Amino acid sequence: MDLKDFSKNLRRIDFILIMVLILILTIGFLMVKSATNTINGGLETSKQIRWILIGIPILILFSLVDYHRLKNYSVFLYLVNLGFLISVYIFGQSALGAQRRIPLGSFVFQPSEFAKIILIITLAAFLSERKGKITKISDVLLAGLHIAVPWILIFHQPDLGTAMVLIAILFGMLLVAGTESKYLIGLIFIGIIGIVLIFNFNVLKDYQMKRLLVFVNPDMDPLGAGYNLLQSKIAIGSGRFWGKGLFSGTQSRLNFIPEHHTDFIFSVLGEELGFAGAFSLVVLYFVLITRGLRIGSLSKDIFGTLIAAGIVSMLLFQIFVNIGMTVGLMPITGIPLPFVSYGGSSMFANMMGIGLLLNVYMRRFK
Amino acid sequence: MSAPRSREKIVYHRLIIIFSFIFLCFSGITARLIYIQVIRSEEFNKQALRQRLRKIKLTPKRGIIYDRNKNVLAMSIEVDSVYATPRFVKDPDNTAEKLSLILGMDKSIIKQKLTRKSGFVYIARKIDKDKSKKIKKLKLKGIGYLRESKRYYPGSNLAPQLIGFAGMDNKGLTGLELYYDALLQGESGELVTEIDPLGRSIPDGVLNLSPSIDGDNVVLTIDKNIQFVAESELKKAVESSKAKAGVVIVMDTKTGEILAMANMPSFDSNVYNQAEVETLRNRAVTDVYEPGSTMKIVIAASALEEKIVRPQDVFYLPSTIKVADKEIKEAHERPPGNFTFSQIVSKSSNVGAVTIGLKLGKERIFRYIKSFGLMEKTGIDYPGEVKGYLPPLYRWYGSTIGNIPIGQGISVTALQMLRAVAVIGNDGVIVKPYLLKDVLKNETADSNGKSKSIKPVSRRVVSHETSQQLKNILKEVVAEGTGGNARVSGYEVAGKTGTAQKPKSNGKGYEKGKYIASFVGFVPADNPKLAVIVIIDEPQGVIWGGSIAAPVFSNVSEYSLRRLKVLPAVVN
Repeated sequence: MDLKDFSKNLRRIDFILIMVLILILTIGFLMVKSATNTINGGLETSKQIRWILIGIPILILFSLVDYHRLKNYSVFLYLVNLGFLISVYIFGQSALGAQRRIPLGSFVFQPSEFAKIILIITLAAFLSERKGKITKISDVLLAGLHIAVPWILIFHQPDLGTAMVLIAILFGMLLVAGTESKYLIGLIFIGIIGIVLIFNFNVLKDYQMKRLLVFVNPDMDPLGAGYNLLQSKIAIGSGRFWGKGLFSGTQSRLNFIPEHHTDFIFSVLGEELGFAGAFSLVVLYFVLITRGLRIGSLSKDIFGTLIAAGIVSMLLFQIFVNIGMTVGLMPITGIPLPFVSYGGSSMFANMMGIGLLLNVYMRRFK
Repeated sequence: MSAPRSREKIVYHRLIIIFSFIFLCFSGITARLIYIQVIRSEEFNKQALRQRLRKIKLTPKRGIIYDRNKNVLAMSIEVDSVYATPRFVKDPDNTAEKLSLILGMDKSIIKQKLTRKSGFVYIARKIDKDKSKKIKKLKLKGIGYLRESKRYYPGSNLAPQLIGFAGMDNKGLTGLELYYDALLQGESGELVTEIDPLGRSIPDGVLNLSPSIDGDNVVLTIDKNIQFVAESELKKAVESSKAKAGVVIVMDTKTGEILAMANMPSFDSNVYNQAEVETLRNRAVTDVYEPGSTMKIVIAASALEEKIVRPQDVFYLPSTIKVADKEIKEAHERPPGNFTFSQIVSKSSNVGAVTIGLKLGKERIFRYIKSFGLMEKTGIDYPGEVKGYLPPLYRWYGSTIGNIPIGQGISVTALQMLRAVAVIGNDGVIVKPYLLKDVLKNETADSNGKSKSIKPVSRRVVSHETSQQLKNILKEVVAEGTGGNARVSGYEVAGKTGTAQKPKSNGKGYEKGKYIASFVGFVPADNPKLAVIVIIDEPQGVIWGGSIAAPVFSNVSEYSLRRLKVLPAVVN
């Protein structure tokens, strides 16, 4: 990569994507600031700005290194990924009943967040070998196996949220990889059967089960498992059209909303900025994701298309499930809202994703 | 070339599917946001307000009840109530243990309260200061305190039936506490504060404060000291005669102000929940009795007013008199003989009274009884007053006219009878008895401290002449007749004894050995200040009103007259 290439590529940057990302990051930062400056005197705010500032060079790095090179390292990347996931079980620190993190100074490393990005790359490499036409059952099974090993490690932590994101990524990428419809329909069936099995064989922890039951019947336990959802809806609803004003959300500032700077950050936004603010963020996400989809369609090769499809699937699933859970459309799972929720690992992983999208976009010309 | 083209076609097709899916997801979220933030936003906003705002009821201070000289009869003091927020109680077992030791309550009851599914539960209300201090020192998690006001009666046993009591929630339950509840209670206020999910008030989070308005103070016509003496004299008499109950009322003859209203048996207002039901009634206004001979005053007044007799008229009276199928006897058997009209009253002759009654006829008797206020409530400012019973004229049988003049077959309350007799002392005019002398408006109320004055209600019943004549006869009762024990040294007393058999509860005949001994009169006779009635219910042994009730009258009157600084008459 010489300087000439660099300047050429710079001119090929998707500026709309960048602008949208900057707007989302700004909103996200303001929301984290609002949600945290009542606790710990804003420690999280200063950390969050650090994650953003570190995330930018990560994004640039992931856009500059030609993504085709990554294909060659896919086996290595896959093994490194497994290594990280296994290390959680060795060095891991448990939080809220789950072992997900490895503390590294002030940064808490969450391998499952990065596993998503690595798997997108390795699966894209695997599927692109099939020239975008998956017609054999063995290819589908191999793709499934590709995901299954890290999936089990993540599910077992347990990190149900990320495990589900992986399934979304797998499905999205198989779809774009041209897998025959019968296999996709078959996969959906297997998914449904899997859900039924999960319900019947006590695979889920008690709290996970309760969350699902509360999703089906929100009024079941308003002071217990249904509390979060009810409080979230009250906060968002009480924001009404124009919101209570930035830094003026009573429900979130008074701690009625739990985890309000991480998983329930959207409730804070809905309360303080109202429908106007919430809808604006939704529109920004829509533009971000559809730009990603456009990059996928413009990619000069199937590998780039698949990477874009994986990242689009990842972002869409996370955004939809996170916002969905705050408004009662989805059950409550610990999935952070990309670029908005407080947290370093999630921020870096998502920055890598956007970096890869820009990477594919810059090199779209044959 | 065909393979990659078809591959691109498939990918393009699949990307369209993904786009549609993305669009669907975002439409779903947008629709949901519109639903929550636009369509149902008002509802959620209300829920949010309800959740973070706490309304605290500010209870006003209940007004003080004073006697006529501003001595406190009832007041409110601040005490603590202990409550729990069960969610925050860390160790219910240990907490219950500690609380039970201090409060002296059963541990299991406290534990059951501490584990209740509720955000608020009272552990103990209105507890002693030292107990609440001890509990506060423990700094127990999930235990809170409320300042509440508790009713306190400094006199304890003083006029408990009359004053009544207020319950846990500072609402008057009985007596004057109930009757003047609206005045005493005041208006509660409300404090709206912002709270966090743990229920803690946020500093500077007061959103709205409408202060409570304390209740008004009331001044009664009661004189604490006279009340005290009335009660102690009554108690002595009831105890020494082993009677069931007793009543004393002291009234200002001319104004109707009640100076004392004593009841026995009695109780302590401060622990009213331990009182026996029998002791709670203010019998002076809630119980009726057959008046017996005191009724002769009304009959005599009627006869004099109708001018069918003069005091010195002489009647020849047989030993007994037969009316219809009933033979009326004297209380103490005597030979036939001549009686003046005055003597009929002063010697309390039943035969004489019936003779006069027959002369009057039932219509006039009925009219006068009504005119003396014996068929209506006196209208005293006290809850639950009853009126006596007199059969309507069409239900008077042959013998009825032989009963009524001697106070049988008619029932009255002590207050009704006192008021009727006071007519004679008040120059023939009937007054309305009352208990509220004054209302001292609270400074916080808009009224500028002006007091409410009560105008006495009065109506003429008999003429000046009649009342003078009868007064002289009633003086004789005490001076020479059955009421000798009612004498008060230095003052002339007018009054009448009464000893009535108690009717059976089924209304057929009279209970053997059960009597009501009474004395009613006024003093000083010529310019009366006080009208006093004493009723002793079911005395044992000596049963005569002149022996049991009259001494109480004497002692209470003597003390009261001195207390009220009524000058003694020059006795010749």
